[in-house]
Amino acid sequence: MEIIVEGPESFANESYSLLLERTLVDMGITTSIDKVKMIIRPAEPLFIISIRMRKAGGSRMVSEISTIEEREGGTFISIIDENYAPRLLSLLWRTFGRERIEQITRLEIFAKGMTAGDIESLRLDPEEELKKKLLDAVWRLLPEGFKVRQEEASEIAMTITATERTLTPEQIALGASTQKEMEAL
Amino acid sequence: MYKVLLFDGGVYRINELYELIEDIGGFVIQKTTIQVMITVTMAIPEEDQPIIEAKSRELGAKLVDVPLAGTEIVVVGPTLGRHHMPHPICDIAEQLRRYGAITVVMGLARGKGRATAQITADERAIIDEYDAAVFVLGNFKDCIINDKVRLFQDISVPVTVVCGPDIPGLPNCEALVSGVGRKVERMRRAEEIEKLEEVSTAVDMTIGKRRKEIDEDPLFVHPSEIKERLEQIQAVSESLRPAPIVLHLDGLRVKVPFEEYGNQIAELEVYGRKLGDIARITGSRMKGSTLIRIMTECEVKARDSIKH
Repeated sequence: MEIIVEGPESFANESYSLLLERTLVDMGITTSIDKVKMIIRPAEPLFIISIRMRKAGGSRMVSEISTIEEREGGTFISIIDENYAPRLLSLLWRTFGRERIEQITRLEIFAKGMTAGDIESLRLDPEEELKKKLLDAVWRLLPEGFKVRQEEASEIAMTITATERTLTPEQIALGASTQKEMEAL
Repeated sequence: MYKVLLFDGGVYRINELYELIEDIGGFVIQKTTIQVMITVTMAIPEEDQPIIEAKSRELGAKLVDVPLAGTEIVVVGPTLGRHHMPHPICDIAEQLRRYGAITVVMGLARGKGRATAQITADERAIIDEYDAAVFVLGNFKDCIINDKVRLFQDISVPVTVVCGPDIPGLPNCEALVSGVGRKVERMRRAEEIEKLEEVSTAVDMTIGKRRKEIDEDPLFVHPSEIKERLEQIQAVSESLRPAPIVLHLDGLRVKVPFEEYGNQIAELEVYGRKLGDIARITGSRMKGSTLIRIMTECEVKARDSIKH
């Protein structure tokens, strides 16, 4: 992961780079980020953060990451790729409710009253989750008073331009050009 | 001038220590007994420290210097949001506690941002109730120099500013410690612990100055002496609040409501006078507390001469 900080104050630049690094480590998403660029202008004031993400692996069917077997009273799921275990469990809880999903062991789940067809059709979308985590990291990082924000997002990059006054057309344009720059990498 | 020390030892022959403190004209500020062990915080005349040191050695106890004991210090952050709290504000508060101070952490309601950062008159009045204030600010030099200085410009107690960037000096504050700034984790590395030491030394310096000022025109009685008398009030001795009586440099905070107990406190007898005659007793901005500010000897004399 590469972090670039542009700003007039060396202490603030180093400090924000470190703050971001620590926040991402805390959230466990360092490996999902390719490059981060921050433009900090305390005098205006303006804070732009642009993040280019790595491919999160795309959306996957539940049947691709686990074996599904219909049994009496429900369906037995055995997870093959354990990276997806927590996400699959929370997806099942969200879709069918906690009372129907029983986690037997770390990688074995029994879905009461469900058919194999119900479960096979489910999809896991890691990108959506990554974006949510990234946004959370950005909210933690942005100076608290900078409540006026403009966001730009695409499949691979997101940029947030923030200030505490009204955003000027120049600031919005700078945010947009930073977003393009990150997309073009 | 009084020096505050912490005696950490056993209860065996502890009465000899109490008698010695009394003989040299010192006060016991706080006693905490845990089974057969005891810690005693005391204020003694500075020149008599060797006598107490010798006694502590004789009793097999440790004597620790707690320069901030007998003070209440507020650590202020621009807001209570996670951008400013809990790191490093709590670390600084904890560090000051280790030096003997009672600390309170406070977040301003509208302290965030640059141009929008502000402090209300109420918040200022609350800060002025303490012996010293520590303002913990962020990473931007431009922001601190031009905008954040407003937050502590009319505070009457000594202010120490802790911030990130290296700034040669700031108006409206007595001490400045840079190199801290925003943190997302506890300050536990060697260089961070050194910074915390630097903060406590700076606060100690401001408190020391204030102590010297008070010594030039001494208080009519030392706050510790009033503490003993306040403990006679049932509501105080039975109070379940942590530290129901807090010592200040120039008085005390008693955690009972002024409206209910103000008169009773004012009637307490101190050296043949009523406490109300030698101290200003007011309600605190912190609900359910009473503030006692002891007058100086000169003030009491001046009041006496007006009366006669």
